[in-house]
Amino acid sequence: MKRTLMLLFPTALLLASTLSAHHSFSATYDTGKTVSIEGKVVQFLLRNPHSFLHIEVKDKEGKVAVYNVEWAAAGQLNGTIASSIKAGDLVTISGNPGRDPADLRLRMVNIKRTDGQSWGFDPGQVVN
Amino acid sequence: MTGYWVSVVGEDWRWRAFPTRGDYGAVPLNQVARQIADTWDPAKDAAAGEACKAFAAPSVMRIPGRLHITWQDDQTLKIETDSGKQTRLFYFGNLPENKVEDLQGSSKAEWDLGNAGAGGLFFGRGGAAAGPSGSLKVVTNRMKPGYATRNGVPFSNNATLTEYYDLVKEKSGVEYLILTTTLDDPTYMSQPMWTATHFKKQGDATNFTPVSCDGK
Amino acid sequence: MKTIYLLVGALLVAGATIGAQVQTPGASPENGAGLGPMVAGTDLSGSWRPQQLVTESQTAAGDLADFGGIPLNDAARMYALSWPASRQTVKQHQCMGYVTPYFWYAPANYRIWEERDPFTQRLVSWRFYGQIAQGDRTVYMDGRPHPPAYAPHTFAGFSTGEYQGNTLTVTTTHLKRGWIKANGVPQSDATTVVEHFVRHGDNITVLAVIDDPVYLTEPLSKASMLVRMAKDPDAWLYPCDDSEQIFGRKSDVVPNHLFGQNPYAREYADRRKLPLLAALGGVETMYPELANAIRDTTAAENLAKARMMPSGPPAVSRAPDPTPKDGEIHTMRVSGEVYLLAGDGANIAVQVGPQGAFVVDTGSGKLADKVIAAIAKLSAKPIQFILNTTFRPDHTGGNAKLQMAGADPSVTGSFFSMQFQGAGLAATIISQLNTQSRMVEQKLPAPPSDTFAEDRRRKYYNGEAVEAFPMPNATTDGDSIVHFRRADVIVAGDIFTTTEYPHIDTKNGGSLQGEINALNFILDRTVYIHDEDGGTMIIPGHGRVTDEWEVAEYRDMLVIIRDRVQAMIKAGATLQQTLASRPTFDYDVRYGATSGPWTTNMFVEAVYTSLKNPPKTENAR
Repeated sequence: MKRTLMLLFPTALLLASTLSAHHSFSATYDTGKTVSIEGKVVQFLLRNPHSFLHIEVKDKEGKVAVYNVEWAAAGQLNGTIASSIKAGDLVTISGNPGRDPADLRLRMVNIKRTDGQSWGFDPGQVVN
Repeated sequence: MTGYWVSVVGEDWRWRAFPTRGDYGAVPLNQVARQIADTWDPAKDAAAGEACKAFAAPSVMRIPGRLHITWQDDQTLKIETDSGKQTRLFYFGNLPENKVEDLQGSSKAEWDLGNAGAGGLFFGRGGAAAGPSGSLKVVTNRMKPGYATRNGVPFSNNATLTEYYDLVKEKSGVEYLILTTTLDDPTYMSQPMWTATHFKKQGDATNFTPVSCDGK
Repeated sequence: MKTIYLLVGALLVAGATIGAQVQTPGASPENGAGLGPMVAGTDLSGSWRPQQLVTESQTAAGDLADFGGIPLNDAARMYALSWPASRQTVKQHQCMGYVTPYFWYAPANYRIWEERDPFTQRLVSWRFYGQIAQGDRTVYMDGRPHPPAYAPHTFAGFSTGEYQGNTLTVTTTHLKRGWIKANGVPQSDATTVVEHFVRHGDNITVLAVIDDPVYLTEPLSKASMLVRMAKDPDAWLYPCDDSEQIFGRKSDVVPNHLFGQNPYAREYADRRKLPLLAALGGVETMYPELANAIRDTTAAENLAKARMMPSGPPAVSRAPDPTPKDGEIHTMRVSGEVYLLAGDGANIAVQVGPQGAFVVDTGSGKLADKVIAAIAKLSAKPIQFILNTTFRPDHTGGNAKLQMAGADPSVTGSFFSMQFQGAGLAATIISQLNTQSRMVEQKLPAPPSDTFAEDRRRKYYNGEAVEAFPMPNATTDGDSIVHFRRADVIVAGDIFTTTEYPHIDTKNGGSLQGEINALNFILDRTVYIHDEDGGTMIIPGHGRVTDEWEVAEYRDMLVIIRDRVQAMIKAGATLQQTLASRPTFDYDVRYGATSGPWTTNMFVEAVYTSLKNPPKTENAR
C-alpha cells in the first residue's frame, strides 16, 4: 500500500471559527491549506471536546512519523466510522496542517478507510 | 452623569478605530444593507459634505473620543462629542415641535428605576440628583438616515435607537458610564443590533479636542 | 407645578433607593449570626446566552497577535508573543477552566439562579453556571469575608456581591492564572475582578474591570452582554478529558516561541492592514489617543519592533506574598487530616490522627513554640515523625524544638530502646540521605536520623499511606516530596513555590532539569476533580496551597526558560550574554527579585550553570 504524504492545492480561506470556545482553529491550524496523509492507525482517542487519531505515516525515504489528527467530539462521532476504527486500520486523511510543524498535526477534514467507510463528506461532518 | 467622559475602546478597537469596508463583525445587517455597505466610500461622503453620516446617533457613541455631558436646562440633558463635534439632546419634557430631522434624531429621556419599584417615571435633573438607583433610558427616532457603524452599515428613517445609561462607581473612585443600546431597523437589520459601550469619568476637559467629521 | 413634580419624584426615588439598599449589618456565618442581609435588587435569574455584539471580540479566543485595546505591559506582551496555539496540547492545558471574567466570553449557555436561606428567605448567594468548562460560580451576598491569602485559588475565584442601586457589583479574588484573551494574553493569579451587572428587560450588560498588577499597566474594563432565553436550552454539559494529543510527546516539552521568533507576530496587523503598534496592545490602545501614537508611521513601526523584544529595567514580582508575617502561626485544613501551618519561614504540613502527628518541615524555628502549640490544638497525641524535604534552615530551624516536644512510641520499649539511651523520647526525624549529610556538614541542629537514598520511604500512618520520594538533583541533591494518599495532599518543599523562582542550589547538587523532572513527577501523581480545579492539593515550600494547575504553570515556566537559556548556550553565549538576553523577562513581574537571598540573576546563573554542566547523579524520571 502506497503511503505518501501529498500536499494538495490550497483550499479557499474557510470558515475558521473564532467562535471556538477552547481555541481558535485559525490560530492552531493553517486553515487555508489542506494536506493528505495515508497510513496506519496507531491509536484512536475517543474524547471530548475533541477526539484524536494517531496515524503512522512512512515518507518516500521510508522514514516513519506519527501524525496527530484532531477530530470531532465523542458525541458527534456516534454511529460513524469512529465506532469501528482501531489500531492497524489503513486510512487516508485530508486535513488542515498545524501551524507548528513540530506537532505533525492536522485538523480532520475527511477520512476514508480501505473498506470504503468514511467521514467528513456529508453535511454537518465538520470538526468545530 | 455630567462631566467629561472618555471612551474605553477595548478589544473592539479594530472596528471602532480602524473601520474598513466589508468588515462587519457580528452586525446583523440584511442583504440590502450589505449591498449598500459594500459600497461605502468615506472619501465620496466627505466630498459630498456627508462625512457626518458615520457620526449619527446609532454610531457616534462608539467612535473613540470624549463626551461632555451637561444640563442644557432642567429638562434637557446635552451630550457633546469631540469626535465629529456632534450634539445630542435628551428631552425629559416634551420633544421640540417641528424639529428638523437630523442625524441625531429626536431623543425622549426618562429615568428608569427598574426593580427599585417606583414606577419608572421621573422628571429631569431632579432624578439625576437622587443617585445611582436606576438608569437613564433614551429612545431616539426620526433620525435622518446615516450609518449604524463607522464603516457604512446603513440605518433607515424607520430606525429606533433605545439606550440605557448606567453609572457605576468603583471603590477606587473610578466611575464608569455603561451604555447599552438596541437599534431596531427592520429595513436594514435581520434582528436588533445590540452594543455595549462604556466610558470612564475624566477630571476635566483635558484632551477634549473637538474635531469635525472629516477630521479637520 | 415643576416643583411639585420634583418633590413627589424625590420622595418616590428616596423610597425606592431605600427599598433597593436596605441591608442589615453584614452578618456572616463566621460570627454566628448567620442570617445575612435582607437584600433586594435586580433579578438576574434565568437561562442566558452571550450576545455577540457588533464585533467578534466577545468570543473566547481571538486572533494570534491581536492584543489591541488591552493595557498589557511589556512582560505580558512577551508572554503572549511566546505563546503558540500548540501550547494547548500540553496535557494540563487541554481542559483548563475559564477564569473570571473570561467565564462570560464563551459561545455557550449560561444559567443564573438565587440561593436563599430556607428559613429566612434571605439571599445567601447568586449562582452563575456556564456551559463551557461547566464553570460554576458562587457570589456570596451575605457579607462573608474572602479567604486568607494562602488559601487555594480556583478558576471561578471567590466572589462576594452587593447591590449599588439596580446594579449588582461582584468582587472576585483568589483567581488562578488564566486568560484575558486566549491568544496568549495572560491574567495573573494576583488579579482582582469587579463585575457590574445591569439588567434591562431581556438583556444583561456585564462591565468587568480586571485589575491585574502583574500583567496590566492599569485596570482593563470590558463590556459584554447576555440575552435571555425564554426556554431552557437543555444543553448544559461540556465534558473534557485530557489525552496524549501529540503521540510520544515528553512531559517536559512545552511549545513556545523564543523571543523575536514568533513567525505570526505580524500576521493580524498585516492581514487587516492595521498598525502593528496598535495590534501589539498597551494602554494607549484603550483610548482615543491611539490615533496620535500612530500618526508618525515610521516611529510607530520602530516602537512596535522594539516592543517585540525584552527591554527596560529589571522587574520584580508584583504579586503579594501570601505568607503571614504577623508573628503568629496560621492553621488551615488542606484536605482530610492534613493541615498547613504558615507563618514561620517555609510552610509546615501536619497530618494528625489517632497515632500522633506527622510533620513535614519545621519552619525557621523562630516561632517553634507557637508551631508546637498549633499542632497541639490539632493533635492530642505527640509529634511522632518529622520529615525534612530539604536541609535549608527555613525548613529545618524548628527541628530541635519540635523533635523534643514529640515522642516516637514505636521505639520506646523496643529492641532499639535497649541499645540507645532516650530512644523514642523524641520524635524521629526522616529525610533523604543527602539532606542528613548536608545538615551534619553545616552543623545545623537536630539533623535527621532516619534516611532513605534512592527508593521511596513509605509508612501507613493515621489511616493512610504516606510516601516520601527522593527527587534527585532538584533544588538540591537531597530534596524529597511527601504524598499523603488518602487526603491526597502532596508536600512539595522548595521544589514548588508560588512566591519565587526555584532556589536551585548548584553547589549542593541542584539542577534545573532535576527540578523540572521533580515537578513532572508531582504532576504524574495529581488528579483534578474538574477541568484543572481541585483534587490533589499541593502544599508548596513557600506560598499558598494549590492544586495541579499551578504546579503545571511552574513547570511550564521552567521549561520555557530552559529552552531560552539552552538556545543561548547553543549559540555560544557566555553567562553575561545570557543574563543580558533576559530569559525570564515575562516571568519577572511574577517571580523576580533584584535583592535578597535569591535574585533573578542568581536563578538565571543557576539555570545556565546546571545546563552547561549538569550534575552527574541527575536521573530523568
